[in-house]
Amino acid sequence: MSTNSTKPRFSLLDELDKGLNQLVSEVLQHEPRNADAPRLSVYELDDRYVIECDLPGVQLEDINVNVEDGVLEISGERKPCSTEGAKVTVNERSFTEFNRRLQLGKNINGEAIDAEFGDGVLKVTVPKSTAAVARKIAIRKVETES
Amino acid sequence: MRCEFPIMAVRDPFAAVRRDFERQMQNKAHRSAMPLTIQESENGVEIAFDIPGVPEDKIEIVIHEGCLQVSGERAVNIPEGASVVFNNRPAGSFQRSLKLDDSIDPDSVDAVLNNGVLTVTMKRRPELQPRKVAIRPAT
Repeated sequence: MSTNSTKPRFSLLDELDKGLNQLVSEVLQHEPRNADAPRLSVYELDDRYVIECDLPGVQLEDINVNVEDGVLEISGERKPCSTEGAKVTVNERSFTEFNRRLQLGKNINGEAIDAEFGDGVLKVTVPKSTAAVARKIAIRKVETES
Repeated sequence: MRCEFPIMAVRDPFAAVRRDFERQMQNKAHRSAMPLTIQESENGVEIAFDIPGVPEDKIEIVIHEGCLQVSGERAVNIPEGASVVFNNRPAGSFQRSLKLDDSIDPDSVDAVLNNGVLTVTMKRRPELQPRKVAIRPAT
């Protein structure tokens, strides 16, 4: 009896532990199901949207940026680079294929999208269409005949 | 000596949970800011950190009392006046500290920053490096 009674107590602790771990990872990573996806920041300026994506250690030729049907897709692969004769003892970095898709608004100029890559960060600039950019109209003064 | 941990666990069952919770908190916070890979060979050790978007003058590497410490600051480069739609990139100061094995020669450290990856290489002490011994022909 005494050994049986300790069992549920320990499994309860395990459950509690599991729950706490999940809570921590959800709070800190925001994306529990897709923790390995490249991290992004997306911000909007008056005339453009800017998407910055962390892709450390990825080669330029292994990155694809596509726009189709108003969806911007950043995809590619991070290839592992191991030194010959060395053994990996700790690995927290992910070396996998990655894919992020972002639905763009209708007010963008898809023809003029620009992408640059440096220091392991991909920066995609999506200009807004001219119709969507708020313009201040200068008021002309009526020329009066005098 | 080996019984010490289980005895403590029975006395305070929540100590283990609390300890693990704190460890997970630290691990997750560090990993999200700068995950690393350690590769070891008989000649030395190579540690690679992901630090995208941080220039080399914002990264500091210190070896002190047998610890390798990498720290720095990642600036938020979102221009003022922009409205943020989504952001999960880590920003602010980051730091990781690794205990070095006694066999590592702290003077042999070399660090390279390339494409958002910082690679720190250290060799084993010369007397511990593998050596090939030539065999003399018998005279």
